[in-house]
Amino acid sequence: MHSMTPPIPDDQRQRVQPIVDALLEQLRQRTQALTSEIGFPFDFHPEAAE
Amino acid sequence: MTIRQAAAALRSREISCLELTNRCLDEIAKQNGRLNAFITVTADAARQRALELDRELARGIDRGPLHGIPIAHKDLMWTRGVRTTSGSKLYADFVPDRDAVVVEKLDRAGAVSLGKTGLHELAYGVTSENPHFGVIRNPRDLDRSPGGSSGGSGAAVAAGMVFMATGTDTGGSIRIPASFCGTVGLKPTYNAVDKTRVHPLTQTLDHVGPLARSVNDARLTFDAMADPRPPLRAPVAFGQIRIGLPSNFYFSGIDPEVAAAVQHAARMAERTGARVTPVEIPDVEALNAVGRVVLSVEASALYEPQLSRREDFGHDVLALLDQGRLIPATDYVNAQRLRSSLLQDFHALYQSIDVLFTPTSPITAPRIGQKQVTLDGESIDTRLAATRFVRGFNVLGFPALSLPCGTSKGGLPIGLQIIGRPFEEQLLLNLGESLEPLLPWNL
Repeated sequence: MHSMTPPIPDDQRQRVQPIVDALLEQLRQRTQALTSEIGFPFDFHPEAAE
Repeated sequence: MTIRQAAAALRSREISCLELTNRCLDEIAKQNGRLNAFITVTADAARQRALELDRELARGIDRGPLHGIPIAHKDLMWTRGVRTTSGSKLYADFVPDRDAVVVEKLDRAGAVSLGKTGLHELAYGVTSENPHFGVIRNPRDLDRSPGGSSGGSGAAVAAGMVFMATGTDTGGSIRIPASFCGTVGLKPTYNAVDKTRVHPLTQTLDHVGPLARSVNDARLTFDAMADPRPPLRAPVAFGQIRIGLPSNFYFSGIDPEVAAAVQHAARMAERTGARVTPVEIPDVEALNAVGRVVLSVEASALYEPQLSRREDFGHDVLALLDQGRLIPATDYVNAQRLRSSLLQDFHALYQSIDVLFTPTSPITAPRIGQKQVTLDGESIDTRLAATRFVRGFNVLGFPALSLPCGTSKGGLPIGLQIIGRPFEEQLLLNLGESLEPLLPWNL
């Protein structure tokens, strides 16, 4: 099964990838220190759709 | 004229709802050609509604302070029978069959909608240079941006076209235009205002709130927009408010005129009886990184079905949507986990303060098309500079009020941001109202 969304064109990817890499580097510097008890900030409510 | 003054004039029959509506429609007719604040003006429907509201007042039916007050809605809010473009080619012909809940609430409160204000495409950006509906201009200086994404709402309120306009804020989109245009803007607590049938940008960062000409106007409209909610703790006595003034992050990489105006506002707050203390703020760079990752991924997930129509997006929005597709799911999950951790850090900070004072933006309104600004000798992307002090409070969901606190030498407004604990909007509004007359700013 293939995605219906076309891939990002190469020239665009070359422009945006460095921005994403810099952002992820900034994020990962912090997330590596997260301990296992830290979860999502939102609860899942299975009863909510009733 | 404030909403309270207009409300008094309506009740003393100095002016009718129809006359007030016509005055605002005249302003729109006079100014919209150069400001481009409105995408759609619903003049006939507004006059009809104003007439009905005049008849109600004559019969003794009074809906409260917003009865007969002309307002506008950002063109993300669904409006029944009125096209709702989201500033996008994708939705250029979309005519909803229902109103957004917030539109219904303001309508029930008696406000008269004059139409739909322009915005940055899909509310995904802060310049309001819209490739499909044109550039929106700042009424303070037509060569400058009104900010965004609620740029049309900020421009319309600042230009006196309406008393208030609704906005949305995913990373500063109410507070940035408020700061750049010299209006008040309130980003309420996350989910304090119902977002049903407000076109989303993300699943976990979007907020809905008012832009208005004074803090009291913002209060009156917020009270009509939000659901009543019991306070989470006893109200703080007015003379005992503890204001935290950041000793890190918020006063570096900033226009010195902006820093001076905000510090002056803190000194004025002491005159109201508040106590100002320096505080060390938790990792705001982390908060901003979380905000950018969550925004990028959630917006890209939302628009993925439309991304086969690449030619229908503006270049800047398409680039942001492509960035979101390149972020791994593991990083999105860890960004949300880091969000939990930062939330704990900020709740710990608020043990010793009631509110935080920061500049809304490190800069005043940039020129239209200006891609970079220089701060502390460093060239920075204008969009990242504009969102630097506001984005984090979307991540936390804390309420944040922006109000004008001064003017640059070039005559441009400067915004003060007051941030409170969740669901303590009334404390922010109380403090803002008492501070407003002490600050060097007049609309």
